[in-house]
Amino acid sequence: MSNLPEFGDLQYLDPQDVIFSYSTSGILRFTYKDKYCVIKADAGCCFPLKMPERYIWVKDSKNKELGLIKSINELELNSKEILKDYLYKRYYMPNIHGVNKLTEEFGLWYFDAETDRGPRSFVVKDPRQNIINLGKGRLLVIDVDGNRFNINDYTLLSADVVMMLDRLV
Amino acid sequence: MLTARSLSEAFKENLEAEKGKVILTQYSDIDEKGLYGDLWLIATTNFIEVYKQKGPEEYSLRISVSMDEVLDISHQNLVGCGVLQATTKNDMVLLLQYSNSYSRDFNYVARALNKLIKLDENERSDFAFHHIEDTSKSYCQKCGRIIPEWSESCPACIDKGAILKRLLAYAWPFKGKLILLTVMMLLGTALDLVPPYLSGVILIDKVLGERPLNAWQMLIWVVIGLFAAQFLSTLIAVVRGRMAAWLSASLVYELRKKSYEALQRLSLSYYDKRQTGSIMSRLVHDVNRLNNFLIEGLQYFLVQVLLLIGIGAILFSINAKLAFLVIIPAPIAVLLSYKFWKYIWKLFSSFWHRNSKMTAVLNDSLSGVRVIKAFAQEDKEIERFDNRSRDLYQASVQAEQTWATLYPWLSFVLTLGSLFVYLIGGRDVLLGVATVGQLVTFMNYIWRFYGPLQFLSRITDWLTRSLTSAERVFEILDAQPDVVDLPNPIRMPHIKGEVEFNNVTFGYDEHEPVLQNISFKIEEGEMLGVVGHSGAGKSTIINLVCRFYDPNEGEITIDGNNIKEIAQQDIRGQVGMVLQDTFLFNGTIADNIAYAKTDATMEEIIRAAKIANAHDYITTFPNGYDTFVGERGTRLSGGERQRIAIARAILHDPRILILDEATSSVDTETEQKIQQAIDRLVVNRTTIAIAHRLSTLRNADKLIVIEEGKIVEAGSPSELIKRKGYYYELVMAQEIDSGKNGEVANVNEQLA
Repeated sequence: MSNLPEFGDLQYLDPQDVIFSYSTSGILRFTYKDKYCVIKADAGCCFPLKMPERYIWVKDSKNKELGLIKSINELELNSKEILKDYLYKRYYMPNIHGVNKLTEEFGLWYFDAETDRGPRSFVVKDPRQNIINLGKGRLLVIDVDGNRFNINDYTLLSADVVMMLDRLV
Repeated sequence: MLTARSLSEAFKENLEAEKGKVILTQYSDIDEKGLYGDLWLIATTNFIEVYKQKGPEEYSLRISVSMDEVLDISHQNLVGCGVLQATTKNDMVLLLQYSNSYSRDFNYVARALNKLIKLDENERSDFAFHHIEDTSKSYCQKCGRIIPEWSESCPACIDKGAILKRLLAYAWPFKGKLILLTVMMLLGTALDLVPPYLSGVILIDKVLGERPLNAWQMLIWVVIGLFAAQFLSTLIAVVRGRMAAWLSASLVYELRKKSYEALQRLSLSYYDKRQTGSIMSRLVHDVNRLNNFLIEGLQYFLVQVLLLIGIGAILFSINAKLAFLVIIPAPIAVLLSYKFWKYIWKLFSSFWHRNSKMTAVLNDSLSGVRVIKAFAQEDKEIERFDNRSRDLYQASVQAEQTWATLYPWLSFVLTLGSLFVYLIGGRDVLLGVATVGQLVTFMNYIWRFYGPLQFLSRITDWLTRSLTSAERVFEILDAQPDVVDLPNPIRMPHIKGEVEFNNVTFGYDEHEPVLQNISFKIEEGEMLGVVGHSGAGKSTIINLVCRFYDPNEGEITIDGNNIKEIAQQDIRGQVGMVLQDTFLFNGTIADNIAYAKTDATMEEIIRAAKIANAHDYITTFPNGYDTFVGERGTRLSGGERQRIAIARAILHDPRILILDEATSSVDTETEQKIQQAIDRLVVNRTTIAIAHRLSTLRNADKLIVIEEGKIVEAGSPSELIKRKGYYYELVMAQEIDSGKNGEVANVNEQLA
């Protein structure tokens, strides 16, 4: 890493100087070192699947990157909660903790699932492409509309569901 | 699957009394906390509001914005969801969030609201908002199921009878031979039933058991009979096999030819929506499956059914009691076979999946072997392959061991029926009620009886797969091109080359416009340069000029005629292209140059190559113009392929020439040669050129700069430099990047 050219250096934001807040109308605001305030900021994960709480980029409304935050946990409590909430909504990927029913018909998989954001029924087309093995039992499921779901460990689901998923994993 | 939601009528009436006429309503499935919930966006003549639905008639207001305060409505696609925002005179308001299932709807809603806010209150009340039917996901109108990607119609609702009838229509021209084939198959099967009877009841009972006076003579006749049955059966098998081979090849040829012709007629949009592999699979695998179904499958099915009936009749005629013993376990045998095949299929499905993953890794590493070696990553690749290979090994062991365990047990269970026959039949023989010959005959027939039973247990699966394949092939045959000629199109054998865009709006997906209100005019013989960042919509302009797609709004004219009214053949015949990624067909260099003019003489080919600066390097090849270019032209360098494409365009002699990043992937020296060739090519032709290297556009008569699908600047290169706008910034950015003093001087020269 140390041999990388200078322009490859990452611009980290000092977590102590970072303040995230919501405007009264729900827009993310970003203040840094009391120097500047971005009234419509955006934040996202560099590694949303592997490290969702580390390497967070912050951009202004013109999509210009303001810097990186190494870890959400380094932020002051209020900012941390706001950023977590923002990312929770920005990366809409409910965790599936139970599958009530999984059926297959004409190559489409019909899920009736329980997620941490409420129950959801959805359909997956071409499961070989849209159920992605992330390793150690973790699966990323993408439905026909492009909605994303996370299964932390599919082997903990019911036996018939595991057997179906085993075909793909 | 989403179900249609509607707002309570009572609530709507109350709202209208208070806030003005309701103009549009849109449901969202995510609440303000980011959980699944029921939210409504409602626009009245005076307000844009968001309500949370708590019960059938219970709605609570979350956000309310006065319509007059709103300056802009925007929607933003996030990851797995989207948000709708309003920019007001004082603030920016996050209206609501929605899952990807509603992103298309909110896209339309945002566009409608942006039109709405520009109207006054009276005009707003006349505004009609219509929900656009979502055709991209293709829900079945009959049952509501999502239609799989591989199909145009709902597999659950397809009329299987109609497909079968249509399928048989393809076999109809061969009906005589097919009937003959079926008769031979039936004869062969009937002959197969003779030996057990001859060797059982006749040989054992009548000859060896009763030992009549002419036993020796009878024995000879039995052997002759067995020989004749065997000989005729073999003869029929040979004739049938030869005829089936001919029929099979003929039918596959016809089906594949018709499908390929249909594919060539289809518009580009058909290919946009489908993967190449999927289309190829239809032409290769599905057509083969149909062939198997028509040539072998149907007859086999018929034979199996007749075998069941035939053997059943023989068994009953020999000994009704024993026949019952054979039939009683039949339902169990069918059920067991069905369960067994279903379970085994799941295991082998996992095996095939892992096999394709391992193949993908192998393909990856073999294609990228240079990169692997260059970065010394052999060990990592070995580990990657080993992981996949081990996965496959485990799946293979599981599938094969399960097969090896279950199949013998299935056979064992099926043999239990025969044990009963041995027991009861043997007792009857001992009691003298039945004969030894009858028992032996039974045992020979019993296995031929269970075979068809196993087949019939899988008949639904077999029939569904065959009809699905038929449907996939028919989908190609029935698909209609999006871009079609009018009944009497305008014929333009000699296009002059005046091209005009009038307020053209277009999106590959209609609700996401790539080009918006584009207008420009190119006079005959002029050169238009199109400049802009990647993804701005430059190549889309070219696709529209070639009429690969039709605009959603506005019109394009060539020599004053709407492009939709001109015969496509005349447009394509007079438009030539040189693209960044040159496609060369497998063949010789000469074949590729003469691709658009197959009757070109050798002199014409050489002249075209000379003008394209290709002749010199072609003649250095041992086989000259007869050099095979290799699959997709991989044996030639990028610059060499590019110049062949230019020679091809020169020979084609188009009235409208399109250059899409024609010099972007070559070194400076080659670029100069290509540029020189292009300069020769563009003379007296209307030319539309897209280039990242702006220096290549300095001869353009006009330039348009595209940003996010809109023209942000237009004029001659020197005008745009003087204007110091987008184009100037792009030029300066490239000058700084390249650091070429000469080109900076050129800019300064244009400024002066």
